[in-house]
Formats: sequence, structure tokens, C-alpha cells
Amino acid sequence: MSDSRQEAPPSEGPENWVPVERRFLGFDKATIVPTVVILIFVLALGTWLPNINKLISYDNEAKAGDVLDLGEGITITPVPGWNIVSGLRVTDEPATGRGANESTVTLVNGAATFQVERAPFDGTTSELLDQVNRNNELLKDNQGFHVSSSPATATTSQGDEGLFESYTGTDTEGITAAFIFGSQGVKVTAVGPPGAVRDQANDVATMIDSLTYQPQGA
Amino acid sequence: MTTTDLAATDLVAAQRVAIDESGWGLPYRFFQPRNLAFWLYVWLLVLGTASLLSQLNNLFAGYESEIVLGYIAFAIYTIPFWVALNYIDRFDAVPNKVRVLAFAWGGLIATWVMALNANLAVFGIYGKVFGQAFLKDWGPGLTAPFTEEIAKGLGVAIIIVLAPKVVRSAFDGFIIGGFVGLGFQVFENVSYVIEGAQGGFGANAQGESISMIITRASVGLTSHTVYSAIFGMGLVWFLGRPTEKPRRILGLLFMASAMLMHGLWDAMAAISGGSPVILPLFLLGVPLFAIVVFFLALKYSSEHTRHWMHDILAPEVARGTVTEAELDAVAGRHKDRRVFVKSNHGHKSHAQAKHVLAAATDLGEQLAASRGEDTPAVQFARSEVTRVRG
Repeated sequence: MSDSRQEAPPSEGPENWVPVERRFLGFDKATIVPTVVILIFVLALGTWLPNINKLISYDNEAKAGDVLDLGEGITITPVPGWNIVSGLRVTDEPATGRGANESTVTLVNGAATFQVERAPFDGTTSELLDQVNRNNELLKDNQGFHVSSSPATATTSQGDEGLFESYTGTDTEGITAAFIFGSQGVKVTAVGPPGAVRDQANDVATMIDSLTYQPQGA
Repeated sequence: MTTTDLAATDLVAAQRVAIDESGWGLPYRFFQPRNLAFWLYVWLLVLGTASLLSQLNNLFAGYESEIVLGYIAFAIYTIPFWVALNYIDRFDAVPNKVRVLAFAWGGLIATWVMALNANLAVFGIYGKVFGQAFLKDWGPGLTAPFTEEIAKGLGVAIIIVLAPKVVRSAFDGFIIGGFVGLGFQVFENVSYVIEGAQGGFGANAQGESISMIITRASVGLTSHTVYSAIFGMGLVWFLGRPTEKPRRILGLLFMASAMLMHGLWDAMAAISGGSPVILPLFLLGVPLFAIVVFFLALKYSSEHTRHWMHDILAPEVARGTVTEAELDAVAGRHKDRRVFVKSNHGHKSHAQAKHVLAAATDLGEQLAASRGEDTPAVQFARSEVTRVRG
């Protein structure tokens, strides 16, 4: 005997209800294709492009006679064979000019990275080195950073004096050097896994020696 | 049945159609386990937040005060943009929950999951393939307009899948895009502040960060929020919605124009060759171009929403709650409302006229929320119109 008092079911299901015939693996079929398309774009931007970049090898090897421009009259001569990852040659002529408040040159050779940063700095060489060490010690990614030698004098072939010291990290080691040229500070770092920079010690020393400063307007 | 009765029935039928088409007043729930886009959004939000926190954790000990300063400054900076977008979305077509989703996509996902990685990668590719001089000149202008606009545009796309009942018109895309862009702009600006603090070997971190806050705040007036609102509107037109037929060419045109203005801004130094005559023209011209396209987009995209509001409120004219002139002003453009307020339609002051329009808008929203039923909330909204009219 049927129950005449039985209530009719509501015409609509609960909020966000998806009828069984519209499901695939439990998901609303209508949401699968658009979500996959969005995911493809996300992967393309967030993962595939960086991987494509990694697949393209550096083909910007420094040649004899190349000189890199750090701006404000400061240049450095790369040792042939090192790859120029960033930095302009003095022969480059960008339409936007060379003027920039700060500049960086990055060279790589095997596992060793050699980087020179130039920025305005109001202080002595020793103060610049202290500032660089302070920055390194405070960076969480640099846990294990430890200066492993006392500062020693580094003299460029032009006769300008700076300071340099060695350091070790959790799985890296390298050297830091600091110079003051006029109103500009220059920080040099050579870093790599243990042994990598020592293997390139001569090249690193040659490049530091090659730092030159020609005051603008002089 | 009299002619008047018939007309009233037609108006009510039109009101029902407008309520159904607009989707206004429909509840939106974020938790939708059967929606695959929900899981993608959550996963990307976790990734983006983790990436941001990792960066902050790395730098916090060295730049604590600059990071806090950057976030406070740009949290305050967000307020007028949020208020402006809220003002533009005067019928509350996009619920607050969806606005927050859009903002979070722009600030945590588009930035930290996509744009950061993609920009660095494309810079790397340009440097390797075309050389360092090309990278310096054209790197930003030929990267960010594609990577960033697409990363932000995906926020509008995923919200269409997450909230199909909310995104009904190009105007919804405009507002959602605006909030995505605002999130992107704010979080990108803070990262610029932190980067600025590290400049000059971090020796003058506080001074550099304040200088960066001022620079970014002043150049950001017509940047990501504007670009993404235009792009979002174009995307909805390109894809189409059940109540908005696809207008692919026009949609592509607006999306391309957002990319173009972004590209022109980022590449202005290279295009002008640093010329002291041409560069200022870009500095003024690109924001002007952005503002013109922004208002053009707003004008065309709001047509649907204005018609919906007109049809929802039209039966209230027959009831005598609002006048024909008030209805036209509420559902009109900004210019129409200004003309209404300044003209003499029986109101005692301009302020009172504005109050009547605002109360009538509230009534329209309540009618949409009640699906046209005569609920206590609707009755109260009606009484408010009468009260403010005096």
C-alpha cells in the first residue's frame, strides 16, 4: 500500500549537485576539459618554458679581446672560454643605452660561476666587504655560510686595491672580493661546489686583476 | 484581462528572464569537490603561497622592516583600487567571494607559480638566442605582455569554470580581470620593494625600499588592474557565455590591446631610443591609451548588465516604487546618472537624488536575490526607496 503522504522530491538537488550521468571519475564532466586546458597553460608558463631555457646551452663564449662593461667607467676582461650569461660587451650598443644605476656581469665555466656586481656605495672597501658578508649571513638560503680566511689585499693590474676573502657554505665554496672605484662599489664572487673555484683559481685571479676603472669625463 | 494587466505580466516575465540570465543573487560556494577546477585552484594556491613564503623566509632576517613596510604600504594602496572596482561593479554582479578568488589568483598564483618562472626563462632564452644587448632593450617588452597577461587571464578562465553561474557577461570578465590584475600588481610591487631594498648591496635598504614604494605606486595607476580588466573582458567575449554570444574578433582585439599597452610601457625606452622628446610622449601616451581602452571596454561590456537591471526594476515603475526617469538613470551609464542628479525630477537636492538611485539599485539587487519574489527583504528595500525620496 503506497503512502499517499509521501512528499515529492525537491525539483533541484543540493547546491553544486552533479547528476550521476554527468560525472567521470567523480568529477563533473563539464569541468574536465577546461581545467586540463588551463593546466596545460600553467605548466607551459611555470615549468616547460624554464625547461626549454635549460635545454638551450650558452653559446656566448668570451673571446680574446672581449671586454665587459659594468658602467660608470668600470670594465672587466673575461678569460676566453668562459660563457657570458649576463653583461654587455663594450662593443654592444643597446638602444636603451648603458646607463643603469646598477649592473651585473655573470660568467660560467663548468660548475664555477664568476659574478661582478656594481652599484653606488658610500663607504670603504672594508665596509663593503662587511656589508656583503652581513647580507650572506642573513640569507636563510646561505645557511652554513662561513668566512674561512682573513681579508687579504687584492690589487688589479691597474694598481687599484681591494680586499678578498674565502668562504664556505653547506655545499659550496668560493671567494668574495670588494673594490671601491669612485662612488661605486664592486663586489666580485666566484662560487661553485667544493673544488670548482680552486680548479679555476688562475682564471678567477686573472679576471679580478683585469678590473679597470676609467673615471667618466677623464 | 486589461491591456495594463497584460503589460504588467510581460514586465514580470522579462524580469524573470533578466534574473535568470544575470545569475545575480545566486549563491556561490567555493568548496566544490566534483569540480576539477576547484582542485587545480587549491593546488596552485598552495604552490604559490609556498613559493612566496619561501622567498620571504629566505630574506626576512636581513630585510624584515622593508618586507613589513612593503606589505603595509601596498595593503593600503589596494584599498582605493578595490573601492574603485567595487564602484564600477555597482550592481554587485561579482560576489565578494569571487573577487577574493580573483585577487588571490593574481597575487599568489599568476605571480609565483607562473610569471616569475616564465619571465626568467624567456629572458634566459632571449639572452642566449639574440644576445645581451637585445635582452636589455627588448627583454621586458617582449616577455611580460605575453607571460603575465596570459598568467592573469587564466585566472578569469578558471573562475568561469569555478563559478559559471556568476560569470555571465563580458562585464563580469572585466571586473574579475580587474581584481586578478590588482592582486598581481600588489604582490609584484612588494617583490619590487624587497628587490629594491637589496640594491646597492643592501647598504641603504630602508631608503631604497621607500623610494621603490613611491616609484611603483606612482607608475601603477594604469597598469595590471587596467590591463587585466580589459583582457578579462576580451576573454569572455572570445569564449562566449550562455547569455553572451562569442565575439571572437572583438575579444581578441581587446586581449591584444591589453598586451600591446603592457608591451609599449615596458619597451618604451627601446622604442624611443631614449629620446628626451619621444620618451615623455610614451610616459603620457601609454596611460592615456590604457584609460581610453579601459572606459571603452567598460562602456561596451556593461550593456548587458544595465539591460538586466532595467528589466529587473521595470515592474517597480508599474508599482509606483520608482519613476521611469529613476529607472533610466539606475540602468543608465555614468553620464545618464549625472544628468539625472543634476536635473530637477522632483527631488529636493542632488544628494537626495543620489540616495534614491542607490536605494533603487539595492531594490534591484534584492529582487534578483529573491528571484523576483516579494520577500520581506524586497519589501524593506522598497520602503527604503520611499523613505529616501521623502
